[in-house]
Amino acid sequence: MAGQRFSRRWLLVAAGAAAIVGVSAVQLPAAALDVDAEALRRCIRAEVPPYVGYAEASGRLGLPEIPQLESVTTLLTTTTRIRSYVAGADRWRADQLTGALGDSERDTYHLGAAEYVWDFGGNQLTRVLGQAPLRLPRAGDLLPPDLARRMLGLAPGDPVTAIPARRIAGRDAAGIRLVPTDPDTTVGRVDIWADPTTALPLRVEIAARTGPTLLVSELLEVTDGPPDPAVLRPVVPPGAGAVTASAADLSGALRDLRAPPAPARLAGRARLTLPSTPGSDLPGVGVYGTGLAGFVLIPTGRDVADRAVDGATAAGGTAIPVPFGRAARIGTPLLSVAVRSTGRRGSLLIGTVAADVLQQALLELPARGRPS
Amino acid sequence: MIGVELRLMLRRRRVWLCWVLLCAIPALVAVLLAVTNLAPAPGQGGAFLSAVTSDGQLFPAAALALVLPVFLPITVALVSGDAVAGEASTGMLRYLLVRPVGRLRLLTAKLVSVGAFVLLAVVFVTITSYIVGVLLFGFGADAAVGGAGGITSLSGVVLTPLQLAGRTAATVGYLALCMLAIGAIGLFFSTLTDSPLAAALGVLAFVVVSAILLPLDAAAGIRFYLPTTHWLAWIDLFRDPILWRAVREGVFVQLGYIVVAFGAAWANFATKDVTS
Repeated sequence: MAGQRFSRRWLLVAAGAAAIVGVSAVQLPAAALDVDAEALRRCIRAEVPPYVGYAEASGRLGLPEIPQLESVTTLLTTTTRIRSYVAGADRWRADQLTGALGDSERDTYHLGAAEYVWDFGGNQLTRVLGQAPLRLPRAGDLLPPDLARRMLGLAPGDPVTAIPARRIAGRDAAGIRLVPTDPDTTVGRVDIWADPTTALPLRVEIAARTGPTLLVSELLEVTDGPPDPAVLRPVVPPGAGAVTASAADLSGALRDLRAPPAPARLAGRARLTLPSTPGSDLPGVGVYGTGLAGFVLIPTGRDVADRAVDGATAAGGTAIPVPFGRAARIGTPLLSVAVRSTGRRGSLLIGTVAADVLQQALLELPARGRPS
Repeated sequence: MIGVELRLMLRRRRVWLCWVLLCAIPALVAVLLAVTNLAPAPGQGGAFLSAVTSDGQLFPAAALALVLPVFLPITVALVSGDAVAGEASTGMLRYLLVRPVGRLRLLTAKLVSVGAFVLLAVVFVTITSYIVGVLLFGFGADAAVGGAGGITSLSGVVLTPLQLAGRTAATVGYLALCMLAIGAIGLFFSTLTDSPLAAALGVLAFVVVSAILLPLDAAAGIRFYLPTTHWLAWIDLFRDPILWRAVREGVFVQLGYIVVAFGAAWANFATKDVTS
């Protein structure tokens, strides 16, 4: 009798534990949705539906630490928590919940032509003037709607097909798959699930030609409709700094005023013409290739290049024999990096192309930083 | 029964020693920060620690983050591990059960006693660190907007004293719940052994394993169910608007641990042969 009581009690506890785990783990299957993949792609690219959401983006790109680009490598190698308030294409706010313990926040407000950045760690609100022709990726770029629009925009002619629907953020989301046809790109597929009613992308998965998904971004909570206007107004709390800076000055690693001009062609690809406004030039920076098979050339100082070469080598990269200085390359399934340190300068190449392409481009760069 | 257990807990010197130590550790950190004026850089050191020198009212949050990972679980492990095993080790348990009191009632009283301990621990740390923080670092510049007692949220919006009080109370409640989950596990371990130390060490081993698994990608599938995953969710209470998701998930998981661990303690203790 005692043994039976013992068994019944433990059975009850086990059933309770299983029920608690089950409640949180069970995900309802999505209803079958019949959508026109091409039509959904057009809607996703054309519309910026208003919403309030919370997203998590997880990158598994296996990139080494690259000096001055830590914020970028962090975005692509860890999980980023992002809260977004979107009233329209030109009125939005994206909060990156930062800090090793999550005890900081970096909020970007985009209000028409003006942009503001609140940084709790720095206790400062920065008003950003103008627009740089190129900027480093930031957390807001990883939000599923933004990431989906960007990826679809880079491959407008590539075919998309419908994939099974998924249950995301409490709603059935229709799925489409983009498979790039460009043989030079490392991107193998881009899967996008969107609300079939509003065309709001809820989840994006990016994978290389082979292997598992390497970048996943999903809206875990979403509310349709515009946010409270009050949350779109940046404030300067007492005691905090308020500064104004040009977008070009905030380009960080991209801004090196002493850099030589970027070559017109690298690895058989022409340099793209970047939009330029007075004072926003990024000397030496070049974007090569089109669509999803592109790479960017970033001039750096020698110290940064040396540390990047060391980092790439330590992370399993390959040394590249060069006439002057040192060079190395590292190829992850989705993103490749090549770096060279020579004389007093260095060059960094990074893009969604094979590491061989970046090596060829690096070897074509003029030695000792002289323009070709 | 509950009143008896609460009075017993409040009469124990080691309980008061735990509370004093929990309050003293953040106070020592505050004194060192005030003397040296060397606050850690943002993102380094404990949560909120970089911001406390400009606003002492943030020190309760920093103090809670300081004691949360190690010291608070240690004290909860000691108290909860002692709950039943302590009675058994002193030979009191069989006399306790001779009284016309059901074992479930006894366990419930023990859990309430542990709950009172963790709640008072978090409240004491919050109150003493607020006093120490304001005395050493003063009110921040936000006092001009929110009145004395206003602070800057992580999102930059100034929180009024009323908002700060509400969010601090929510933090206290959330952390007490997190620690009660550890206490419930300790209560279960306490029914497995007659040694309070073994029970306490079992709790600490559980916490350490959870903390080890937390950053592992390979453990991503079970991360949600690890208790330590949710311990810092209360930080989201200091954003504006509040981000409830992590707090909500944390409450669910901690309540789950309390229910399951208390159930396991009951299942084991209800039919256990008590010989000491």
